[in-house]
Amino acid sequence: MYPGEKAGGKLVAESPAGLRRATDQEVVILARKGEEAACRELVERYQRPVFSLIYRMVRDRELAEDLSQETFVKVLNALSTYRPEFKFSSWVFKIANNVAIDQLRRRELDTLSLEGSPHATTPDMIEATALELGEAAESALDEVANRELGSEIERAIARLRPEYRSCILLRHVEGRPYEEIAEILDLPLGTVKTYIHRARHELRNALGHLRSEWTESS
Amino acid sequence: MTWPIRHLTAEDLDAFHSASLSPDANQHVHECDECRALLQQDLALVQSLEALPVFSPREGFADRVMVRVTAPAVVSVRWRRRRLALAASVVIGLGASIVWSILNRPLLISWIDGAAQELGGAAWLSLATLAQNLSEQPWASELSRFGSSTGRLVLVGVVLILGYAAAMISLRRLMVQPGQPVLHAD
Repeated sequence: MYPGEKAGGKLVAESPAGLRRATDQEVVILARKGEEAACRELVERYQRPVFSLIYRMVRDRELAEDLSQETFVKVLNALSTYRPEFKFSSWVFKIANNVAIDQLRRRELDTLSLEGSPHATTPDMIEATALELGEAAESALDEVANRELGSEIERAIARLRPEYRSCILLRHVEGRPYEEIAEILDLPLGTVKTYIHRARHELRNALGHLRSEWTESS
Repeated sequence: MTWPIRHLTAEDLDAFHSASLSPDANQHVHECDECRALLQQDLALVQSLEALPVFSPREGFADRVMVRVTAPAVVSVRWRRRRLALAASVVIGLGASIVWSILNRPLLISWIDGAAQELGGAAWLSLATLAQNLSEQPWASELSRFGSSTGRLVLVGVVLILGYAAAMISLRRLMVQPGQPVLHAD
């Protein structure tokens, strides 16, 4: 018997193993009734993809964790407004993306550049605007973030506009189809495709020095 | 068919990734070094993106979330039972009264008749008492003489109607906002 199924006219809460087998819709039904295990199951199902998305958007591990918590608090407190005809994952990612975008707008972390502002034109300007890594005051979390997000491709993603970044992460990292991304970001399908194409174009240009390796390897 | 000179579009790239590139586009890729290189680069990029790791928050994330969540509003079972009981009582009471009325129709009619007689008698007595009081007033005879003339009654009626109409028109004009600015009006 799965959670949400009726036995003797009453909805039945299942064991954690049963909850893990249940669909999102079934778990939401239980969570709406105040079943803590069901709420916890929803968090555990989506904590990694939500955290990954937000972490790559804001590039700060501690901040990403706060924002991820905020996302799930909003999700669980607003479960009564969730409409079951839409995918639960789309709804969660929509809230997560909005939380991340709001934070970026507040903190003006639009396009972080580890190698200087994209608008810098001279070596002096580049040096002046570059983020310095490995400083003595750097926290352990910063060090982790630098290690995790320090690869060429991660840094190239960080240079994308927030809208492009959301689209490319949802499409190629989370594997969401175009239609679902349009639903998540509340954008027309054509706009989503355009953003993704432009994002890939910018990434190809940014990673152009790896072109010879790509051409040879494929 | 002569292949038109055009390079791959964004839609062609999508078709390539979903293994649905058209035969014409496929033919162009074989003939165009630039587009072939573009496809290879795009494929390598997509593969790199898909290989990016999924990060995890720190241990105990779900616990930290649950601490911050306010419990979903669950309607109190006791309150729900009270509302149901009250609704059931009203329905049962109405039903019972209807059944009793049907079964005791003569008795109900006698009660209603009795009550109507009492109320009607009381109302008639009140009206009669009021009329007698008014007729015993000092101005009653004067009013009676005035009202004995039909012409006077019609005149009074017309004056009342005109006065009512004038009052309504004045009131309506007072309630409409002025169309032009009024001096000293704030």
